[in-house]
Amino acid sequence: MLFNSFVFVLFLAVVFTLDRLTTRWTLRKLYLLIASYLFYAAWYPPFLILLWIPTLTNWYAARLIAAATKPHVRRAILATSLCCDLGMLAFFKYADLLWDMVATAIQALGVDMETGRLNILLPVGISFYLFQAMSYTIDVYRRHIVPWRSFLDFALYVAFFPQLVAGPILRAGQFLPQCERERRANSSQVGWGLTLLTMGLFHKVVLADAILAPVVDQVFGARRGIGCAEAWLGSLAFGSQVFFDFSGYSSCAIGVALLLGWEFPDNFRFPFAALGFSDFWRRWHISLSTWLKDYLYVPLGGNRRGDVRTFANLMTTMLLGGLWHGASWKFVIWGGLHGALLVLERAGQATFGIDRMREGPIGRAFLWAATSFMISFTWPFFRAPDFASAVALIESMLSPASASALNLSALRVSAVVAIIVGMMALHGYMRDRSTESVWGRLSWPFRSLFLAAMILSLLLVPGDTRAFIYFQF
Amino acid sequence: MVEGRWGRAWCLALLMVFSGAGLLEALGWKHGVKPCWSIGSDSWCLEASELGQGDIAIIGSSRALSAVEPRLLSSLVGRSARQLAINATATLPVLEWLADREDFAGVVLADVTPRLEFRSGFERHAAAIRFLQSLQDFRRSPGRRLEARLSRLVQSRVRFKPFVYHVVALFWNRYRDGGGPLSGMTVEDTRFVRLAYGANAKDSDRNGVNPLISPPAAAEEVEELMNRFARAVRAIRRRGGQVVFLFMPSSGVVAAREERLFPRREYWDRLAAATAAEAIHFEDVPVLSSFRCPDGEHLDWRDALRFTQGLAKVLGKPR
Repeated sequence: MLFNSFVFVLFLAVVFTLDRLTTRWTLRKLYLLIASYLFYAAWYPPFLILLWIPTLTNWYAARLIAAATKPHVRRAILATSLCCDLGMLAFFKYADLLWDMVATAIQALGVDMETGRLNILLPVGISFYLFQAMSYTIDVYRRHIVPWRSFLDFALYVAFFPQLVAGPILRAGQFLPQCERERRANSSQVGWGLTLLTMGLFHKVVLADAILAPVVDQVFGARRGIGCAEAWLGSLAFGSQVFFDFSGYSSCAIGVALLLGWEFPDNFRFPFAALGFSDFWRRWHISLSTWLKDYLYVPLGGNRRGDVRTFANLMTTMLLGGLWHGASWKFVIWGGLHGALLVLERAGQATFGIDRMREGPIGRAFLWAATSFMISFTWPFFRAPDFASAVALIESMLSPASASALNLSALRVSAVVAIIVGMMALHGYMRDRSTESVWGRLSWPFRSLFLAAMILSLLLVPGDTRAFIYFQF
Repeated sequence: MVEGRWGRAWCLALLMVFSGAGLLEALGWKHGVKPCWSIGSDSWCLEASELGQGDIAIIGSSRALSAVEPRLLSSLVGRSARQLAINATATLPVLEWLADREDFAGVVLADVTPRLEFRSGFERHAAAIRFLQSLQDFRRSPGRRLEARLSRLVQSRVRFKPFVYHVVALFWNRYRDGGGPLSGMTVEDTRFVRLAYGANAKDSDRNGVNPLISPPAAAEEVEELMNRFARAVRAIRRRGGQVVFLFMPSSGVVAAREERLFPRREYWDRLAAATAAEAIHFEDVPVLSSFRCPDGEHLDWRDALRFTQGLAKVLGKPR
């Protein structure tokens, strides 16, 4: 079920009303769990089983780990649980890629073998809810938390519909304590929650889908004749599109949760104001980057074992982070490029005095420009239909003389440029501020005006309903 | 958390929204703009799922989308018509899908544009294949089915959105080519192709994506495509169904280039002969030949009703 759909509007209206009418807290949680399952089943009912499997395996694994006293037994239970989770992920998400690799290897040995896709249907949001369930078991294993007492709470943690299919990836420590005492949204939470939902939909439907996507589709869909300026425009526009798309989803998720009285952490913090690549990852898809840091980078040794090992850990984390995004070598390269940029930044920290540069305006401007410039070269691998197209686009970006044959509409280009420039300026202004602080200073008539403008735009924008880009992950 | 007078803020915001949308709705009524249903794979899948055994299936590309009004056609010919045309695609995959449907024995109105059907490259079928593939997902997803129904229910009742496009298209075309016609919409509750077609032909020539500049496929490939058409027509006829090929109006430079690259004799006439199906070329029928396409290949939305009425007359005549 998409947030930008009539079905969701109806669904949310019913869930919100029943949530307000139900008085018993346990009953409300049970009813939210059933609503979450309905939300997931709306896409393809049989895949509900895939949601129940990690719920059950991680629940019991965590209890067994906590009950076990011998370290090797605890390790064995954890390993079994992770194998179940990662096995599901590997089968549904990576089987095609693995099969393709095996078939290519066999063909390389001279064996005549048919390749072809296995065409396994990818369950929506599988990477998100599996990561969430896994983090619970790992946290219990590390003794950061104790196994939760209520299965209902845990099942709701895995399946709670606002974040079920595209995050933010919550930690048990962020969600489960909220289950302990009754939560009901007050008028400020309802007002702000609805505002976040509206803003998220505006970002997604108006900015990402209606204005940016057509130009991005045209540039990335062109087989030839992409000029330098168009290639840059396409890359920057895609960066903006994916930001508005995904941060829009996150805003919707946070807003919907708040409507029901639940609090989620931020998932984006004005990433296009980043001064460096590590800063970018502290601002972009925060719940994933912190997950990867806590459950992959740090266990690998983090930065505690010398420079070379740190660089290797960074690269490994980012390569796997890239692969998390999709079963394609393009995403691995995208992750690898980000890993390389992080390594370069870390290596140059002392040599170029990057930390000192952050203190002065010229240094900050340079860092911002360098970060934005370099990150633009990574987007083609994220969006292009194949590796060759991504490389061709990057070649065009690097060739000022490359001829243009795309003939993008001037009006569309103006709109896209205005959005990109506006977004960059806004992110620069908001870098050390929060959305809440800015909205908090607005008087209520101005809030009304902004809300009305966003809702009217939502009602009037043309185009197809597009799924959120991150649903595929 | 943002504190403050949220109740007031939201009430005023909703008041402004309802007033704005209400005003636009009233203007839409006043100017005779009709509700329309956005084009998309889910709306197509819904229509395809609801296609009945004896219905009329309108298939083809944007030309059929912009010119044939299914509701009006239904009322004129006395049987239900479903709009199954898909923007920018060849017709053959959908025709073959209908041929494979054992439960379909109705009438297929197939808009066949030779430059889309017989051009080189397999992309000619890409959009149609994508829609057909999405049909399977659509059928197993209760959420998508419900969304498509709700979307149709709402969009087929409101006028404010098409009215805004009506105005935007007016200004857009004026901006693009100094005062072109309104287009890019169909009336009634079907669907619209969200484009101001006014200057498309010359633009798309420059950007190299216009299928007009794609050369015809190799002779053997054309032969194979003709055979596939013939097989599909035979299958539908065997079940008591009927296939009518339509050559939709084109004009000006587009018509001239189509004729130069895909001569009628070599493609259209040959298709008619190979399939032995009824073939209606707009040039041969006075009631269909008087239309001018603003961009050379799509009817002005205001002409859609008149074209549909003309088509219904032609279909009703014994031939």
